[in-house]
Amino acid sequence: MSIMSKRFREGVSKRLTTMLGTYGGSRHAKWLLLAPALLVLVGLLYAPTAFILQESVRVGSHLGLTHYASVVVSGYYRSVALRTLGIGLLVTLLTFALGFPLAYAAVRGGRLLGGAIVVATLAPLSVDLVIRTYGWYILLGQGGPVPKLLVALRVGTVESPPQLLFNTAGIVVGLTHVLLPFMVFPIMTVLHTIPREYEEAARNLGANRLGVFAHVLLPLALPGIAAGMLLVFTNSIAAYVTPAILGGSTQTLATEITSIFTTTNDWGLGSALAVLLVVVAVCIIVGYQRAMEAAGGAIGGTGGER
Amino acid sequence: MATASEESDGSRLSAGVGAVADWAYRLLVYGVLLFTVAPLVVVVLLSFRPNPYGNSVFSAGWPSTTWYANLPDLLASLGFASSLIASLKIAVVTTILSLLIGGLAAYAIVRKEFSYSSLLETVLISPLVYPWLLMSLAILMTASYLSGAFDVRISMSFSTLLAGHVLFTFPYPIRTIGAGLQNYDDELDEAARNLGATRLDTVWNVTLPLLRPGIISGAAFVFILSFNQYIISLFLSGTSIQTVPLLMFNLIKAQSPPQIAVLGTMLMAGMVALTIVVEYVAGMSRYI
Amino acid sequence: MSTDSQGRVEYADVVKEYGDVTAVKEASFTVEPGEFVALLGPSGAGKTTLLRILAGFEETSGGRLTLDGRDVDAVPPHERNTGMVFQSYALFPHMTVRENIEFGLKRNGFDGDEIDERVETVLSMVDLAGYGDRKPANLSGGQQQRVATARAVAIEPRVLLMDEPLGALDKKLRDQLQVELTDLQSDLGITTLYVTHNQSEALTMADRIVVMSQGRIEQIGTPTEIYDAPATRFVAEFIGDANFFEGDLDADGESFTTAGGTTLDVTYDSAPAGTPCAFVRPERMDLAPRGEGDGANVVAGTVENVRFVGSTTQYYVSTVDGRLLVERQNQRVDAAFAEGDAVDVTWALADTRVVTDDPADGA
Repeated sequence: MSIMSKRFREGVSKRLTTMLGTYGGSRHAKWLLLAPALLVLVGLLYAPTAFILQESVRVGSHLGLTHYASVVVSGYYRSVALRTLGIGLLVTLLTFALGFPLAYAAVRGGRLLGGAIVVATLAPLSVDLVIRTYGWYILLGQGGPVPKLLVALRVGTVESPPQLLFNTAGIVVGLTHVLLPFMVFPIMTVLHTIPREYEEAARNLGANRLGVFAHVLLPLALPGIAAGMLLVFTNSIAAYVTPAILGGSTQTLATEITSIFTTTNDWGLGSALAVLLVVVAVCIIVGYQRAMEAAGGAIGGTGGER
Repeated sequence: MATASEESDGSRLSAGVGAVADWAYRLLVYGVLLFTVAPLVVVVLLSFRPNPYGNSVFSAGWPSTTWYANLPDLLASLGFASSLIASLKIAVVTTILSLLIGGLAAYAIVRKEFSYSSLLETVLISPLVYPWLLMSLAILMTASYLSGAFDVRISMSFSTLLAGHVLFTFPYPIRTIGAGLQNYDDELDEAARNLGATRLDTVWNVTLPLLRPGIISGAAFVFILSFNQYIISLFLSGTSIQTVPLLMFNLIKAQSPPQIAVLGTMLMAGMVALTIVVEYVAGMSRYI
Repeated sequence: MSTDSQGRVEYADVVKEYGDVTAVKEASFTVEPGEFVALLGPSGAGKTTLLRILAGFEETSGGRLTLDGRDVDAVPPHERNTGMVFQSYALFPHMTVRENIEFGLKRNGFDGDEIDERVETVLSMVDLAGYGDRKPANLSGGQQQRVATARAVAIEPRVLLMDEPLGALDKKLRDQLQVELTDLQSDLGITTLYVTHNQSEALTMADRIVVMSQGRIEQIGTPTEIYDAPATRFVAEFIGDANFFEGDLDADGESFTTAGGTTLDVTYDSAPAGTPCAFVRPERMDLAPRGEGDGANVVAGTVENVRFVGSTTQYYVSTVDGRLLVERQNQRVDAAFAEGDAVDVTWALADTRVVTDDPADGA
């Protein structure tokens, strides 16, 4: 299977290359097409990132790990980093728990419901983050609709209603809302490619709903789920606006880094925290690609070759 | 006999469980839908509130259009017009540049052969997962370092803002246009050539019209993301430019709920309308 | 330029290489004006490559390709005036049927009224008058095929190039369109190069067939020549059914001893090079009860399997020379044989052909 498609792809690209090679000018013309993008990347992303890296290990006029040491030693920064990762993990799980049923309903629930879900998921994405976050600020705030509802449901009392704003809970709710589309759409894309007959076959062979989900949908939708989780996790640990508005004095790495740069101007410490954030993100991405390659091998059914 | 009745009880029971599961599932789906629209709806409801303070949405006198009636004064007092113009300007220029840069790159990686094409692709779309905060900080630090170390004055202005916006948006057209190119039947181009069309003629009248959904979706993503960008604009716009998201954030920090609700409702209406139109015309949700 | 010199195609030692892979090895043949030539062979034989070279989508790696005496190498695709029908039809999905046809007309020097007129003409030519305002997506596969053909012939190309044009259709529609396409081609008198891997399509439609395998031309000839006098074992195997006998030509050159020990009377034009084998078409063989067989060649055997196919019946007969396929017309009900019958398989001297193994296969 994979060999065939590879050969097919090579054939197609060979044909294309001949075609374009004939009319498309020199061998190096293709790099000209990439030049603007690469220029932007190197000049505005990679070089500046290298500069941050250098700043994080520069102590006065020589190199040293002082800044990293002060991050590791400080209980405060450790707790901020752990809180940030915890929020990322929780938001990833919540968006999956809410996003998968929604994606499934959008794909299998008929045209009307499907269209409604796509619009309801897509529309908030286009609205200014600040406005959306403000909506939660009202909903979750003291005397707001959500605490009132919870008190009515006997969660907390009128005297001490549940606190949902200016703490981790507020950040988690806000980020779950902001990042839900990034979970829903990749899963929808994959679910569209899974024929309904697979589910019917599983039911026919005696699987219940849970069995169909666990043994058919979950494994087949894994690439979409993993892509969604990757997007949600990396975005949630780096988010600024939502924690800044809904977190109050509860800091995450992003708000902490921002306040270091805007108030104390301690470049070394700020850079060290920034590098930590990038390292976590890169590890997640590399891990994702490894996992996808492994899963591709298993799903692709090339047998014991890998 | 007994076995038969047990069986029917069992199947009745499992049918009952199925019905309950069905309802639970439906409840969950509508609950999540409510969750996605709740913060938007509450902002709209709030904009019709007569009194400016407190967190309760409905109060005596609701709905009232007081705040809308005073809209011109409100906009003028906030300097909203200049913010809107700044945001539109940056969003439009960013859209044009990112479409060009991303479109060319998409064409290159789909249609040309490179030795490490998958690595190259990952590198090209890496800004998608790179934290916005760090992008802008890195640019800010580098610019201020260069200003100090050499005699180049790089101050935060429209051009640094534009640089940051292009950096974080150009991978989106690579994805949307690249997807279109990947599904493109190359025989269509050959058919056009065969029927007497020159290369340019073919690109203009056959290739581009067929890539239109990807181009429109890419443009919409870039425009919306650029228009709504907060953190990158915060660090790279300098003191003279205040985009709409910066203005809105400051309003929240200054605790001015009614203004936010009214402005938010109007901005929301514009953006949601744009999104629905683009979704209908080009199916942009496919590209997320 | 006189009209009767329009559309003469000449391939002279044309070579096409992709890196280390040779897709076409020194192909030479000529297509005369108005002629219908089929390029026939299995996939990967290089047929489509020959077509794409003529359309200008591929460059030759060697040799010369001329259209009406003019070297086409330096001519870009849009100036070659070749009308191509693609396997996928390649109808522009964003244009109506009319716009698809106009696309070529506008770029080939037709103007105003002439365009409208040509659109109507070619649409009625393919029985699709009144379909001009539809989008391709709203047409059936057969209708899409007709539009693709109409679009290609509308520009009055010097040569019509068809790349497996019926490959995506079911058998019944394919049969019908084979007839329609042949009629259209002969009505227009347009030089046609037709790529197919379907041997019956090539046999029924073409004036001449170029049989290709692994980039090499195996044989060029009329359908009858190709069927009755295949030049190589590959051609004999690829076109129609055949019973093969492995063995050796005897010194006298008039008989052939099979691996099973049977001696067959054979005829051949010239002493073949390479490993020879004898072959006979199933419909040229007949059956007789054991001992009653009469003819130049007789092989004894037992009926193993009988397949009723409608107008004919196929008998699989096991013999010392392996299993033979015999196909008999169903007109003599009395002469039927059953499984297990002891029979003689008989055929005439003229129906026993000797071909050689493809040298490329032996290597």
